[in-house]
Amino acid sequence: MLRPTFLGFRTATSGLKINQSIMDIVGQNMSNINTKGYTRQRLDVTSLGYNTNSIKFGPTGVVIGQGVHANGTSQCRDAFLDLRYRAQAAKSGSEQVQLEALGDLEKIMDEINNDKINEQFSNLVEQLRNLTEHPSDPVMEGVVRTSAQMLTQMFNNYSNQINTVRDQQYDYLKDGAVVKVNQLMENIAGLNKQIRDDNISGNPALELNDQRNLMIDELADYMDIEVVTTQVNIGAGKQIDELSIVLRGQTYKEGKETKQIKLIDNDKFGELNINEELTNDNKVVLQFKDTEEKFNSAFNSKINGGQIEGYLKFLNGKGDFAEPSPGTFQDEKGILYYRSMLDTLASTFAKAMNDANVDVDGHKELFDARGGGTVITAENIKISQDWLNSTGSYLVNTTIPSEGNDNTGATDNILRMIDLFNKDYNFKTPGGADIFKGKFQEFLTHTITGLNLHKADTQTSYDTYSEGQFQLDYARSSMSSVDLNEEGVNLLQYSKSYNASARLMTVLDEMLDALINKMAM
Amino acid sequence: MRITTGMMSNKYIKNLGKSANELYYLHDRVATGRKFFTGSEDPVGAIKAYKLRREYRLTQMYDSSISDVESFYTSAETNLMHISDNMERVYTSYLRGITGTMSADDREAIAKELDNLQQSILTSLNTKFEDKYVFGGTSREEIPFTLDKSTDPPTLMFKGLSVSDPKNAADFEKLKKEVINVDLGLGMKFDDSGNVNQDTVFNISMSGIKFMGYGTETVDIPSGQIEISNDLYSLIGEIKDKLRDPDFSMEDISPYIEKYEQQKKQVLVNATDIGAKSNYLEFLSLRNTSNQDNLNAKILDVEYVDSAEAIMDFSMQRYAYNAALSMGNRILENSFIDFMR
Repeated sequence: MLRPTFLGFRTATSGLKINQSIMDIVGQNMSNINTKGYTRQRLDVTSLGYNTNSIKFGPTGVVIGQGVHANGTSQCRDAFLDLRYRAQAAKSGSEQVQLEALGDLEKIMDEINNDKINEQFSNLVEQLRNLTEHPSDPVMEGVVRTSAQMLTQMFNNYSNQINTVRDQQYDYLKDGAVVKVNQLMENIAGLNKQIRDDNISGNPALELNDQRNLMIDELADYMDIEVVTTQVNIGAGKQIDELSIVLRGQTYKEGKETKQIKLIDNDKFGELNINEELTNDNKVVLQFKDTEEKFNSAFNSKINGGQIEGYLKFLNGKGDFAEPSPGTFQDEKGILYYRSMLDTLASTFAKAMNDANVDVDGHKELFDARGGGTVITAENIKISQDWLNSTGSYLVNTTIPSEGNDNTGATDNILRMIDLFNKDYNFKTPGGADIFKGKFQEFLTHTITGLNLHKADTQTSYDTYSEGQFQLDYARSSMSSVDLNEEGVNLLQYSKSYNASARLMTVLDEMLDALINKMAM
Repeated sequence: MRITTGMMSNKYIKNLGKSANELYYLHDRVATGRKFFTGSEDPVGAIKAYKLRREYRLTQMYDSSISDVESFYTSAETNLMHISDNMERVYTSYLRGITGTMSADDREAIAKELDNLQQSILTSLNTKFEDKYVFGGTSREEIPFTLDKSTDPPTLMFKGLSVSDPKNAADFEKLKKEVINVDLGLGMKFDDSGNVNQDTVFNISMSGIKFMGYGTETVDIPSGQIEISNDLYSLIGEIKDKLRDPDFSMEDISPYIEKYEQQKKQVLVNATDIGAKSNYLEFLSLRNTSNQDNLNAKILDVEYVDSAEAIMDFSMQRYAYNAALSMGNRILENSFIDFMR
């Protein structure tokens, strides 16, 4: 085979060029070592050898390659790790929201570090016991009344604080999570369009891909999503990827067709809406318009994972108080459950006390509802106006008075009231389902420690999921992040090979010099 | 696995944060002596703690109730002993020495002494403790014993009922049985109809009529039958009358003095009875205190740390934290770049 005279120069040039490019990529990698979401890049390189299959017209003899060629730049990234990371992010996102909200609730109700309502119950008993030593004494009764009033105020206070937490969480969902999800969907769709355009013109748009992946990671924290890429033929034998995002495993029926709920379809994006203002007892309902503007019904049942799920569980969960055919998440123990537990305690307590304060003249109510309703809740429980206005003795001290003499010193009914705190009650939901059997304070402790356990459980789940998330991110980093040592080695290695290519050039030049100028002279 | 610079520093920061968290948590333990600060840190401990605290509060309440009842009883005992002592003194100094030949002046002196005794008995039985009549039964405002001055001699009334009137006997029987129950931790129980089980509470009612006595007793004497008052006040009045009787005779007065002797004994019996109850209260108080000590020990066990252990844990953690800090420096200090020429 005949070797073209200047063949070696091309090989040397390609070596110089490629090594220069690799050095540029090393530079890009090193300068982005701390950039969030940056994926390590590499130059895809192949060795070059112009060949032909035809022996007749092609070269004969030894065939030698002619240098190196760059096919393009690409990223070191594993899509499967992304998938697992995002699934885990949805789980830990849901637990995280619940953990924080339950933490707020625990701060209100927990009594380990300071005495609150539990102590006030004991205080009321103590004052009643003091009254047995001075029955009918207006001063001592005043002390009892103050203690009872403190108790009702504590109930009110708990209820108000719980409602504040509820409003807060609703705001976080409405003005935080929902807005953020919509923003992310819009931005990702925008990037989709840009990346697609770049791809068509041959630009891999790696940096934009990094940005998009970051946003998808973030979106995965809010909802359990799945990324779907489809290859699209753009003509001239070129194919590009188009990206859409759907809710994992959630479908809806349209006619006979089962369709996936698409959050993002290439450059189109859906819209998440929260449809109600928060009133006393309602639940939060989300709506979603998907990219085809077809799915637009109540969205709650389609939510499975992510911060959004965490909010819905916490805000809509009623636990034992769920309606007979509970909506999505109503079975969870959310804030309405804990509020209803306190309401149950307040109403059971008020009823028992009222029933105990009866003398020959009939009922003398001790507690009633603020605003005059018949249903006593933790929010509206208060001392009755009659008791508040009474100047003399209002508590019935005996129900078995001996005829015709002063019985103001008898204590039997006060003891009966004290015994109310030692009695077991069947605490029931308004629907009549049993919740708990025990004393007032036991029920309260049951509620509080139930919350403690709930939070501890959530903490454990969150720790597990977030540790898993960290590990997956760690694995992703292992593949995608930049390492200084490596890049340092690359610097040395590629500067050496650059020098080698340059050296090849000089040597070739010397060879040609020898051939042309010194031969046969 | 490929470990990069970023991974190393990320993991290091994460671990350092964990270590610092643990350090501050253990520091809180040392500083407060508590094992946990919210229920969710130790739900089982929290359940125990709430229960123990409730029981402990109860023993505190029993403690104060018992000591209040104790002082109430002490007051009652003192007053009854006072009556008993006075009756004894009058008996030994005067009544025992009465003879049929005593002069009217001597008898008048004894009668005067009996006047005083009557007065002091009334005062003692109307005594108040912390704004409440000790012997008033279930009444709080009403003075137990009053004198109806419209008759001569004045009639003794208990809560407005004449003590001597036999018609009132049934009422007094009821008043005697009046109860003021106090819960002293005997496991107070009510039956289904809402009546307390008397064995589970402590009755502090002391109706004065029980100590005073009421109605009359028919006594046979050689000359026929006489009615002698059962209540101390009237009985002493009757002895006075006999002493002041110009036709004073030993036969006339001796049944009354015998009755006095009987009643005197009865008062002493009642006083010692109260003393016995005081002893029982003392026993209850002791038992309650030991309960309290037990509960306290349990609370300490559930909620509080052994401080030596806590400090030990803290020191170990501090050691680990310092080690982590110095390790971080070593690990993150150099890379290949630092050794390139």
